[in-house]
Amino acid sequence: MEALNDDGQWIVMMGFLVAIGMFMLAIVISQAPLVGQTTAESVMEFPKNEVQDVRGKLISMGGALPEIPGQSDREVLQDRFRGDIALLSMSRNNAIANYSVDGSYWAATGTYEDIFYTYHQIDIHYNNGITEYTETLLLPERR
Amino acid sequence: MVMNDEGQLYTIEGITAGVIMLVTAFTIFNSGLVYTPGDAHISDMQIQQLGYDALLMMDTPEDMSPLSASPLALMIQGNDGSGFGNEFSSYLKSGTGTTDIVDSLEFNATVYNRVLGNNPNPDDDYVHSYQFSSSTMYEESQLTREPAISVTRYVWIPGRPGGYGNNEYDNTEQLVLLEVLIWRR
Amino acid sequence: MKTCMRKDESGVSEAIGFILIFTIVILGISIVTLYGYPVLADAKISSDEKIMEQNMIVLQNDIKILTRNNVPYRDTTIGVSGGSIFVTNSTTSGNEGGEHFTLTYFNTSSGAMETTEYYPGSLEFVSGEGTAVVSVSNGAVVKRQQDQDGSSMISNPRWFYDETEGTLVIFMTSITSPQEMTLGGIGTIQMAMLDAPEIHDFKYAPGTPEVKIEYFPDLDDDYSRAWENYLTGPFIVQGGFSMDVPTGNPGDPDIYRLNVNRLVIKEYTVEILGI
Repeated sequence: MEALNDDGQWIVMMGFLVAIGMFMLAIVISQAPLVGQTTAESVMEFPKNEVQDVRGKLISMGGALPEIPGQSDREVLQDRFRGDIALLSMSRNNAIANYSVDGSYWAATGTYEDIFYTYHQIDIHYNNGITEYTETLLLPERR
Repeated sequence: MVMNDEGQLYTIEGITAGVIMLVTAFTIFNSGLVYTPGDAHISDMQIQQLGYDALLMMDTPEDMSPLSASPLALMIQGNDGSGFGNEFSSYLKSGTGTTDIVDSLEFNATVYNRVLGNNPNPDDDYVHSYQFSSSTMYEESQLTREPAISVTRYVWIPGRPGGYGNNEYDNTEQLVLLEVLIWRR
Repeated sequence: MKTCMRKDESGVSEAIGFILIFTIVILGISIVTLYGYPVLADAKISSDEKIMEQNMIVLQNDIKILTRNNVPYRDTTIGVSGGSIFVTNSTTSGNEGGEHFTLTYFNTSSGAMETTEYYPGSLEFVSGEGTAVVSVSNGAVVKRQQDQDGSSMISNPRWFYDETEGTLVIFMTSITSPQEMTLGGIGTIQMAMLDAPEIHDFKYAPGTPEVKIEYFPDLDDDYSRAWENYLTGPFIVQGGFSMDVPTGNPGDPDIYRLNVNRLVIKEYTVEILGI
């Protein structure tokens, strides 16, 4: 009877260890949390740029929008832009976008003033179902 | 005849290890992998931001007074699709400017504007659109149906936009929506 | 004293010892296989189902990018395990009287009430080993168990109500495909939205009749509980839609109502080009 030759048991054991390690890894991989919605998708869904766009437009156009008593063309202009934003936002961006200047549309407020400036209140409302954004900003106009 | 039984244990261990490896492989390939890994939309997100930023730069007026036309507004009003194409492409490519593989972004821009209905009822307003500009490889790259993303920007223009059928539409100050689809060829 | 230990091992057979040990090992393995394997299989089925839920959310997200971002093409590669995905065409579903919605609302341009039917069609995963059914339908991901009542909504469609303006925005997404399609294993689902959505936009004066949504379930594939929880819960509007008392007859719709100042309906058609 000959004895079992047990040279190289280390190699065999390492083989075992590697196999067990792979098995564990496989379990970890198969159990890894699978997420249907990735972070990047959430970032893309957040309407940061749309809101900034509408807001930026209102600030850059703002000086030309507030009504001056006796001048109806500014009211016409406001309505024109409001209609454009509302319709195009709904049809292309699936969002409700609206604004008012000096409370002319849906927020009952008025203008403010100090010695140097008249402040026009611009209310912005944006809602695309995921994010609702409402802002009131005061736009100074030199008196 | 004496059978040589050296290494029997090794054989059994080898078989066992083999079985474990097979089970491992089975487990890996049988688990439903989501082949949309967590980073799949990161490039989409970056392209989207790039597009928005490019439009923002082009829509910055050179004049500080309110309601002054930006270069982008002048392009839309003058229906200068090729001018837009050149500038927008250069913004998309700026920073890389190296090889065709890197500069493989294609785009297609459409202008949407609101047309007032015949009577003051706002329900009669409707949206009119026309293709404004596209990248040079637009036709070819349409064939591969690449997944695209879209970016939009409102543009203030002092009169009617210059696109197809423009004379039917309002010639007043208005906001139009520029929508650009961007995809990698 | 002298301990007498014989050093002679001539009667000891290594082979018999090995066979004994080997038998014990094999027995152990058999017992584990017999009792452990079913547990493993169950765990695998339930993990498959969970994974497919997430896969369906991935699909829903891609449909969302298609529709809400107005992108013409999108594709998603997914691995389907433990079952198959079936595409139900909205027209087929319409011919066979499958699951559908009807919307009844006041049309301001014609000045009359109007009822529109929507057959959404679906992308449905049916588990082959387990009992779960997960479906992407009308922008939502819904789930039910085979041969059991009840269903739940895993991911909501993005209908919304804007409190400031009293506007209800409803997205109706229907799925079409050029032919019948099934997917098992790994495949790429190619989707396209080539037609612009149809938009209905009505602004209502006070006193206009409420908007009525009816859900007609497919009796073999019933997600009425999921939609009930979504519509009457606080997901769209605080307090939810009001729901008519169900008649209890199978096949009768669930009826939901809401008073709004403005109603926007966007109808999207997503075409599954291939899987």
